[in-house]
Amino acid sequence: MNPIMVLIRKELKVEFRSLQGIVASAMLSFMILMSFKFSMYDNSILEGSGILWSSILLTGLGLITHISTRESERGTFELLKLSSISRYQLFLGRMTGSLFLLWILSTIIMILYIILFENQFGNDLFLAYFVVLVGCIGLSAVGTLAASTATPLHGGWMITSLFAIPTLLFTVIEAAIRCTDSLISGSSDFELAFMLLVLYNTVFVFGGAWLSEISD
Amino acid sequence: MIKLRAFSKSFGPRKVLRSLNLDIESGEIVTLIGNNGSGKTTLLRTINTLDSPDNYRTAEINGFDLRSDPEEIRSRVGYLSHNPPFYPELTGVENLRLWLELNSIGDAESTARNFLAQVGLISFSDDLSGNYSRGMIQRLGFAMAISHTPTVLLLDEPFTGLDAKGIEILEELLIKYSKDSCSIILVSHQTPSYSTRTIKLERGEII
Repeated sequence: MNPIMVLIRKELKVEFRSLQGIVASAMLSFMILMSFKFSMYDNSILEGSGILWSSILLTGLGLITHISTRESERGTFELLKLSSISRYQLFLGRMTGSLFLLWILSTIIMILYIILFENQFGNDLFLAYFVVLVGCIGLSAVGTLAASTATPLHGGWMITSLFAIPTLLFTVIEAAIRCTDSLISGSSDFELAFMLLVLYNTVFVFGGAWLSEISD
Repeated sequence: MIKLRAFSKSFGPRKVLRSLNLDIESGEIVTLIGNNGSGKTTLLRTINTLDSPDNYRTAEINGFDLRSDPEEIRSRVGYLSHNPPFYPELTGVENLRLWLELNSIGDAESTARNFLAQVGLISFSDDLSGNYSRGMIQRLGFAMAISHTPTVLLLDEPFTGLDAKGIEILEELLIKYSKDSCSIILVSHQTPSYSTRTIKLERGEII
């Protein structure tokens, strides 16, 4: 079996047998969405999709950091590094494993968002969901790279956030918000914003693989 | 076969390995002794590519250079750390199968069960490794170290936590692998009778 597939299967098995990351992240995203729900009186903010993406960004990064910290604390990251697979395969395997879990988490967040803030996407709901799934690719790439670099250090989860949030905010998240906002407003920005999102994802996935390979 | 010349490693200002020269032939069992902090574990971790050496004139495992052929080296080195890491959510056989699949060993399921049988863990193979005792983890770690048929074995205090039967199994396997031309470095506080020679490390130097 391809080593990337082996790593994906391992990640899903470990998570589904413990449910530590997914359940905690889903609870956190529910609380973030509820905080917005209770604290906002000005409905104009709700006309955009920023709340959806801030919830995905914060809890998604939390989930990836949790996965990486767990590997680091148990020493199992060293076990993976000892195998004869190349570093870029290790990065892609870990990134894709996290991506599958992020997709599950984003699906939960999307459902919660629609329940709490109503369906603003109208008939484009499934297109908006597709954008969320695509946006998770860049989030997973940057998160995995940042977390695997930072988690061996003390306070690694904080360093991961400090590095990953600004990197993602002005790239993947901005493009993704433009995409979903254009679906809400019906503007013609969607295609350009989506192309930008795909471009950022490609750069981060290939960049992450390359950096992992040369760091060996 | 391991060949090191002027092999050095530092952590910050602290020199842990000082220009080591070391040759270990195929089939040798070399016991590495030394006080705490003398550099024994660091030497094993730099040979297996987990840590990078600062500089060296020669660092070869079976003719492969440590820096330019790390994947070739990892496929030839079996490593048992002082505290072997495993996924507690996976069973013994699943942990070992993961390792074998990552190393592209075919028929991973039956190979994993075969190696678990060799270390006396077959009746616990479907139990979660999170429920294993210290000695069982050590046996699982040893099974992992030998399961991809390495030509070099690096064992960091392999008898920790093992009962008499476990020690006997490991010793028999060590002698068997030595006869199969495997080069073995054994970090231990005592030199076992089957060891071909003993090397003492003190402050990062062989004395």
